[in-house]
Amino acid sequence: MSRKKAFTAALKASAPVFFGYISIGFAYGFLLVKSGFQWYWAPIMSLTIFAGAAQFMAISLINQNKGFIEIGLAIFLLNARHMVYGFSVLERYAPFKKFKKYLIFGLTDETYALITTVEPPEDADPEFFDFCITALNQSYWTVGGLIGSLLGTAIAWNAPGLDFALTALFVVLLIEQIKTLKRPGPFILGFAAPVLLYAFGFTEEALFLGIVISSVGCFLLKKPKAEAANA
Amino acid sequence: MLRIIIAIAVMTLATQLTRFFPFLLFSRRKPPQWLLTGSRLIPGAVMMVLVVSSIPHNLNFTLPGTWIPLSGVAAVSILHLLFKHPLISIFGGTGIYMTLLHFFG
Repeated sequence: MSRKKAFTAALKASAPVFFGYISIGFAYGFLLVKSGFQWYWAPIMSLTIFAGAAQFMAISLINQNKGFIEIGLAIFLLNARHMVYGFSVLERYAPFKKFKKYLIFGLTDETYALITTVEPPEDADPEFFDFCITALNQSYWTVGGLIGSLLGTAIAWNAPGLDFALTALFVVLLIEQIKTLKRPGPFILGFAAPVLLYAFGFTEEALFLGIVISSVGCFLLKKPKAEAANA
Repeated sequence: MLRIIIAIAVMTLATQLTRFFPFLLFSRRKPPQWLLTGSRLIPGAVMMVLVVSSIPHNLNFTLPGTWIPLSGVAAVSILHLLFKHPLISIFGGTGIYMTLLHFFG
């Protein structure tokens, strides 16, 4: 039974994500309910959108009555890092058939991290192993959100300041990006764009226009020397 | 209700577009270098925009409205550099922020 073996190995490998997704999912579900949503939107969003930071952003984007085009473009650019993941697993997923679409659907930060670092057991089907990892991760995330939203409905305490968890998540992702990229250009763009927009009074549009302007700016940045040599 | 459903559909589509994009266009040919470089740099810029614009969300240029969120960001950064563990940074930093807000906010 190599399938059973693949599942057990995936269960073990995904243990760190279990703790991460259950607790951050919990915070997400709790915040969602405290922001005025019914509890069932938490599992619905976890099964459809399935992107942590985007689902947190969804709460405020929907509550602020933003237009659908603005919502779509903001979420697209927020998740643009997933494109990088796609490019780097292109070859690994190329021979896959049965679960390929689901594997691409579920390519979150944590799933990508696991799939690129953990090797499937020797006699196991690598496609089924990757499928188990992805599906287990999505179930942890969904269950965490469900528990958070149900407890949030039951508890009267509003947890003032819990929405800071999203800022904290962004700070962590930012530090990781700084470590990975090792060059200042994108970060200067990302800092200057919203600050200038605020300074000129575009308070409402600072987030959205800031993302668009700095993303376009990234294509205009000079190539670093090492990459120019490889190209 | 309908607005929420459409918004979720739009966000699902936007998210899936980022995940399927490389597979839809480049399963047979190699992606061009400018696209690879651009998509590698964009996440850094976007994260910076998100941090900067999620702080003034409750930053109203009163003294506690400014120093509490900035202390929260500092707490998350220090915890992350010390322990290198996202959960400690996120929940530790949020806990510190909530405590400051409770006593000084």
